[in-house]
Amino acid sequence: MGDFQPSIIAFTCAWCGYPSAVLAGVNRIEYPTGVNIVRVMCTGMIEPAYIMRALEYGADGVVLVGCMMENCHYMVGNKKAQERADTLRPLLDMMGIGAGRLRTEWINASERVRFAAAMKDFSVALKGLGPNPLGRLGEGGVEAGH
Amino acid sequence: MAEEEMTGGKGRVGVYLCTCRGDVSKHIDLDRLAAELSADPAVAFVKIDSELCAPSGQGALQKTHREGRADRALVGACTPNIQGLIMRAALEGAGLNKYLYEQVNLRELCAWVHADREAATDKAVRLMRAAIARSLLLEALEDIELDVVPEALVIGGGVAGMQAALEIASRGFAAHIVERTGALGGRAYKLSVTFPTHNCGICCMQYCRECVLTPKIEDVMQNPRITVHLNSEIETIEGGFGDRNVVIRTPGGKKELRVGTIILASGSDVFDASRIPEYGFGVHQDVVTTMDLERMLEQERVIGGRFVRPSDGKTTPMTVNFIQCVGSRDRVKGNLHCSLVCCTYAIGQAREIKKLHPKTEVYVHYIDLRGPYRGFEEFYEQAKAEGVMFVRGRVAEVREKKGRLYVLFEDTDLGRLIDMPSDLVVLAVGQEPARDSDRIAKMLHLQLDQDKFIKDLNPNFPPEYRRGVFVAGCAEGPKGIRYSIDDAKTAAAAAADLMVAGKIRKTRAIAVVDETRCRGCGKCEDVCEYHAAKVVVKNGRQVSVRDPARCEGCGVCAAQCCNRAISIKHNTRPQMEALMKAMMAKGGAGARGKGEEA
Amino acid sequence: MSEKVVKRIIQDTHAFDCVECGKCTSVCPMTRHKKDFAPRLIVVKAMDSPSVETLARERDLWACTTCGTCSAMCPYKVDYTEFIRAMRAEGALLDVTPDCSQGGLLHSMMRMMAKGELVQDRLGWAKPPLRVAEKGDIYYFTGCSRHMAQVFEDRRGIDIGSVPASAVRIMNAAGVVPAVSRNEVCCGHDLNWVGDEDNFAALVDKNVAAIKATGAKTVVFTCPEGLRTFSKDYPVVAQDELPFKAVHISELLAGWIMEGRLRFKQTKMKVTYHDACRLGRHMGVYDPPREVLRAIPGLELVEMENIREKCLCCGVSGWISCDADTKLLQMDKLMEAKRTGAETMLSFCPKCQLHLNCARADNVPVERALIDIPVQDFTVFVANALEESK
Repeated sequence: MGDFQPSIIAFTCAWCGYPSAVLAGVNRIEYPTGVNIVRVMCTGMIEPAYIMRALEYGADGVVLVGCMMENCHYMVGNKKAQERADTLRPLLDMMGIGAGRLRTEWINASERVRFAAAMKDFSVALKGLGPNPLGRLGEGGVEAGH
Repeated sequence: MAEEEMTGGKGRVGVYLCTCRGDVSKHIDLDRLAAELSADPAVAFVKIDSELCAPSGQGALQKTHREGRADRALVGACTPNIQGLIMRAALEGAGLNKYLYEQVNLRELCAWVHADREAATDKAVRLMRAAIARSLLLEALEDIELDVVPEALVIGGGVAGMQAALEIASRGFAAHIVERTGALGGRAYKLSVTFPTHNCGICCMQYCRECVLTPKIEDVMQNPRITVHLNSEIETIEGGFGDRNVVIRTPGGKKELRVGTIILASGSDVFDASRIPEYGFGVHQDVVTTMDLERMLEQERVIGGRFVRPSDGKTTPMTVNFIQCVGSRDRVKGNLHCSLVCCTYAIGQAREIKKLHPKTEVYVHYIDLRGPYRGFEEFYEQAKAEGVMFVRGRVAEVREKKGRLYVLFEDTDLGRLIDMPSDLVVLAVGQEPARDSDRIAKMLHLQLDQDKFIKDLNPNFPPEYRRGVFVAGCAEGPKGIRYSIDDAKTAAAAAADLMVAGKIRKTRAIAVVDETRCRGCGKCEDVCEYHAAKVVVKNGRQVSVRDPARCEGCGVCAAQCCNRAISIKHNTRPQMEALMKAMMAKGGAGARGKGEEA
Repeated sequence: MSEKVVKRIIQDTHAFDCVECGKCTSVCPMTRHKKDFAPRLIVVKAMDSPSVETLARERDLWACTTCGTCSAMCPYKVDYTEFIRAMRAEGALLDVTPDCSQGGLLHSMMRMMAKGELVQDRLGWAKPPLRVAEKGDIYYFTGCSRHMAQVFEDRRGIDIGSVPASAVRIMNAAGVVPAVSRNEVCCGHDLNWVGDEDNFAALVDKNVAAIKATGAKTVVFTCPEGLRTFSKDYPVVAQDELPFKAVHISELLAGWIMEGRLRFKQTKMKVTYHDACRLGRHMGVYDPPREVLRAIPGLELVEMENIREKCLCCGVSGWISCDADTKLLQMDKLMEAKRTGAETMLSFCPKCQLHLNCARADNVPVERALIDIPVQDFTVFVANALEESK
């Protein structure tokens, strides 16, 4: 398990999440290579099906990084994202995937340290949970139908 | 630096990598990256440049694109939000549709945050592959063109509002000022002399009521392009960028306005000093605010009366104590933020008292003296020279003992607790967001900052993001008169720019509804913040439609729709799924499902 | 090659026997509102141009809910539903995929159960005083209604999450302690019907192994889809002959009621009953649920105009085919139910309940009063009607 480098898909919103990641880069703040950033306009655009897909494709963890509550650029997007994540988590537990594989982080565009810290923290937590029980896409098991 | 190129398969994606003058190539093995990517059948070529954003780099992009080997471009470089716009514009100049442009941030999101070069390169491969999978599914799109109604709405008739209206009118457009009270001028009009002169001996043309404000109000009232609605409030603002329907409540009934731009200059309110009971405002007559003091000073300076204590109406105060930071820098009973101008105007008033009554002792009790404006230091030195006394230490309490007012404080420089008798206590009250401004901010989809003032979008963002709405003056945060007016000029100029252009190009990355899948359930309508979604009856059935002027492309409705009837252009599900799949796939480039083999 | 495949499917489903009589069209629920839709047309197209590539992309192939009303009425017993399923499976091999509701979330969930070695919380509901066992002659198939209840937790007015608990409560009351297994996975119905044969096969293997380990000879279902899948589709796919047979809880209930093992309290209510496709037309179970309802004192069963073989489909199957046309169909269904004067419509199928409830809750193109009849789960209803014993 020492070698296990968790793969994380981080959906970052264009207004707060993504800029905070960029600023982390500007400040050369390191975080694990397993973090893959997907830029979306708003975390409110992330439907639960995307999160499931990400897990189906083998991501060990999924995190939604958006604006702080009450500060969403589109007013309610992050709130919807939070609700959807809250509905999905018990399902992930029921399925044995684990609610701990889905996180939400609501941060400010300037909070570069928080961004990097959140990624590191998630990575560590995922190391504890172990790899996604579904395995990575294309590695044994049955291919996804779609 | 010489460009390198590797030719791949018969793919359509042209890949351009940038070494960022060595800064990226130091941390990512771009040669290996290029080799791995060019093996992907979807890639037409991979070119490496040292500085894509420089003129040489832009030229190289254009030259290569014109060769016609690829119909879309993927750049692996820095952040798409900044330099990426340069590269995209260069390729647009060579004929590439801007929606066929994709950029991966290999610098801030990879090179600069991972120490292990091998691992960083692996990640770069992964990110680029994912982007290739997405770019194959991109569609060429055209921006939407919207008309801008050549009329502006100015909310608030204070100095910022008036200035904005005058600027807009001077450029030939109509402006409506909606003012809540019965008069223009706002709070600045209630001030009698303003920083920095406080001395009308020379012609200063600052913002004093007598010299400047009154004539400005007359200008506004007489301007044929400006309509002033006094005693009026905003009821609703609907509509989208460039075309908004505003309903206002006036004494004469409801009125509807149609405007293209909006300037929110709703100002700020003064802190209610009774919220700090230990200062005794509202309890002791001789405890007043700086605004009250204006009226009192006016009596003597202008009207020919006398500056007297309110309690008896006849004696001149011989000891005046200014308490600074009332309601500001106070986490418990007030607001945390500093109100910027109180030190300045309190010192001005202190000097004024000294001028009228040199024998009166004037104390200014402060924690810090903050005067961020030009001339303040000299102003402060003058005040001291004129005998105003500055005492460091926040006043704890104002109380009455045996018919006399006492001010209790610790002089922190001397380290002594002092209970000083006072004839007049002046509370330098801070500024707060104006009552009801949050409701208007919500209607205009503006956020509030940590102090609940209205956050205007960074002017560096392209104009289409500001949606024709601008915030000016104290609505955005406490500031002095001069700066409110500057703000107003900037806002008015930006608004006028839009109206002069008459049209705005809006991103096409907005929601579209597949009417065969839409069930007309209305969930999207419920969830859309911008009222861009509406369920209408078409061909006998209920379907949801979009107003392209209002839709922001946030995607909240698309995620809410349980039947995949809504997609966001340029952010479609297939694009997202292809991206994620490629990102997580292990093994060969361009891996697809088993359907490929058959 | 593709032609051969199509021809084989036509042969297997007796599609050649179609005489174009149009009887299927007249009873097909989709034809009511979908322009130019007719079950026989897809067969005609297949015979005209037997190409998987084109057929797999036909709207009609995916718009069909496979309710089976056509086959039930067809004088030549053409197996339309199997035709559709088999054609879809061929389409899936070409990566032709339908757009699903919920963004495909449910299908993702099922594929994950098929692919992964997951340790699920399948039995969190089986807490005392409910009695279940690790081994036994009778196995209760929990199914995914609780998973779906979680996905749809914001929907008001339905309760499918309580189904397993209700079922076991009833069984316990009849003196039966069923076996259950935490290694159970989704029955695979939806994946089977969208043509994902690979993942379906994986689910079959897992479930057969899980049930075998309990030693059960009878598998009891509350869910019609689970029942149909185990009865008809598992034997086709499973490697060896299945050591158990599938039965619906209503069949057992009817028997237990006759034996006097169950007693119900006075429930003065008017209800109507929805014959879910997979229970009625697919499995022929029409009478046992009605017998159960008749055994509840005070309960009055009022039937809709279209029942049994002609019962109107709820409009959606496999999370595909949901659109504006099916919404109108759902309006028809709800209006028909409301017209009976019943206070509630009972159904065994959690999917029917979800879909009809969704249709009710939305913006509706008709007057709300005409469709405002709640849809309840049959098993939960019966469990609540049990006389409190002890």
